[in-house]
Amino acid sequence: MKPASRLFLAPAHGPPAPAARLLGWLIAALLVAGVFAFAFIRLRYTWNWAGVWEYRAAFLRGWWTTVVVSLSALITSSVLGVLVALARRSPVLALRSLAQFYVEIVRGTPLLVQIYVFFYVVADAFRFGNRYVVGVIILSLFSGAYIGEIVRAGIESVGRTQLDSARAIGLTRAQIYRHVIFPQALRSSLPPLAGQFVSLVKDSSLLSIIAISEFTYSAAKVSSTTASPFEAYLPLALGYLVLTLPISLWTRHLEERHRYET
Amino acid sequence: MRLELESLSKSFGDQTVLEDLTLDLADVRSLALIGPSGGGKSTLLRLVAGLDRPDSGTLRLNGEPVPFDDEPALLRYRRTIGTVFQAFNLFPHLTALENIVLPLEKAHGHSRADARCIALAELDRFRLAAHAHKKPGQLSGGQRQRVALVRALAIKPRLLLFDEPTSALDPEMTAEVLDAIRALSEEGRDFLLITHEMSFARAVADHVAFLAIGKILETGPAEAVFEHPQTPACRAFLERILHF
Repeated sequence: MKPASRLFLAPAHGPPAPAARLLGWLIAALLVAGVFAFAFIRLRYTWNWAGVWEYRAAFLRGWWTTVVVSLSALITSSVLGVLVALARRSPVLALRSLAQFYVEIVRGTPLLVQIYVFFYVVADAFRFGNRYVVGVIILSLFSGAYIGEIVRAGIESVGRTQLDSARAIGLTRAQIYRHVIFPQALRSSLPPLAGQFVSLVKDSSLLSIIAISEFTYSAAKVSSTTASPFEAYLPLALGYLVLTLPISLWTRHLEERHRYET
Repeated sequence: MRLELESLSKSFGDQTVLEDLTLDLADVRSLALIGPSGGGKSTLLRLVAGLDRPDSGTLRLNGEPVPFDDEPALLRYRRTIGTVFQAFNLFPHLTALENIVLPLEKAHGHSRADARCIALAELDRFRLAAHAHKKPGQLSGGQRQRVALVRALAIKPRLLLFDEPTSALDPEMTAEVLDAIRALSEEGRDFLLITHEMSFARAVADHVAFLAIGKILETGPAEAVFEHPQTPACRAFLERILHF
């Protein structure tokens, strides 16, 4: 390879040189920054950061609410997802069908409609007052369907001979799941799970329609009070990135740790 | 061991794989199942391993019927048998050592320290100690099969089953795995072996059963079957396979 192309192209084998990687990163960053800088300059917009800065406490409170709601939903939807995946493989046929109905209905309808129906009809009928708890439940039900499918695909990716081996050494059904299936399923499920968790954080923004004052809700309020939409929504984007980027990095780290050849 | 089959049948869909097998082999130490592919060898081995259920008939090992209709008893039965398949025996997310420790600890009630001790000693015996902390992906095919053999052996099974343990290996690795099996044979362990390596079957097995189209067509001491096959089918099979 010529020296010049070595700076720009990844080698056929092995990782690229650190300098080349940095250069590539810089070029990409400049390109993105250039496009947006050009667009915003053309906008001829008078920025009013000072007006929005007044409401920084509201932003922080909203952001924190998003963190708590997303994190709670992330945990409960993961548990739910595993249960759904197990139900879909259950010998009890009614359980299988129930899990399938749930997955198809949740995946096939807009989250917006689910939030309205669950909040104004179901939660109301069962006298469930706390909108934050209801919000977490709705988000968990929504995300749990996707996670269930991801986990099911992971479980099904474990080879037949692996199950034979596990049975042959005399493990019980529960032990086979615990020691053989789940560790291997987790590895193949990590990339789609990362995507799903990131979506979950962003989907929590829709809870603003039932007046849960999470991050997006706060930003929308600030935007209308100060009449400065960009100053309100750009920090909003940044606030979500602060949450979603660590998820991506963390799952990539897990992927590295669970790497092995099959 | 004593292996008794009594009108044992098994079919998958409308395909009959084992048809009414009846056999009584007493005082057999090592049995080789030979015959053409699709003849039912692996299916029979899976029944002996307690991994599948027959459609009808009984299978007795050392006089005790295999409890096909009682899942907890079948699980206990499986724990007394060591099985090595063609490939992918080992769990890829565990090291060689962990692969051996898992059944000792979870299925046989050894403490973790105890299980590690047993596993390391067995690995050492098969000159695999240097690979104890490698995952299967870092081992050669032959090493993987030897670790699988150690795992099957570490639980002190009353019977070892080998389902074509070398068919996925190149000749050099085949030799290394066969050496390990030969060592077990010389220790006088009971085993049942499916193999296409006829000279090896002849060297390590004291009994041979020839299976084709779901039936046991011929059984006898290894020498006798290989030297003077009685049925035309077995003779034709051996001639074809020993031709080269």
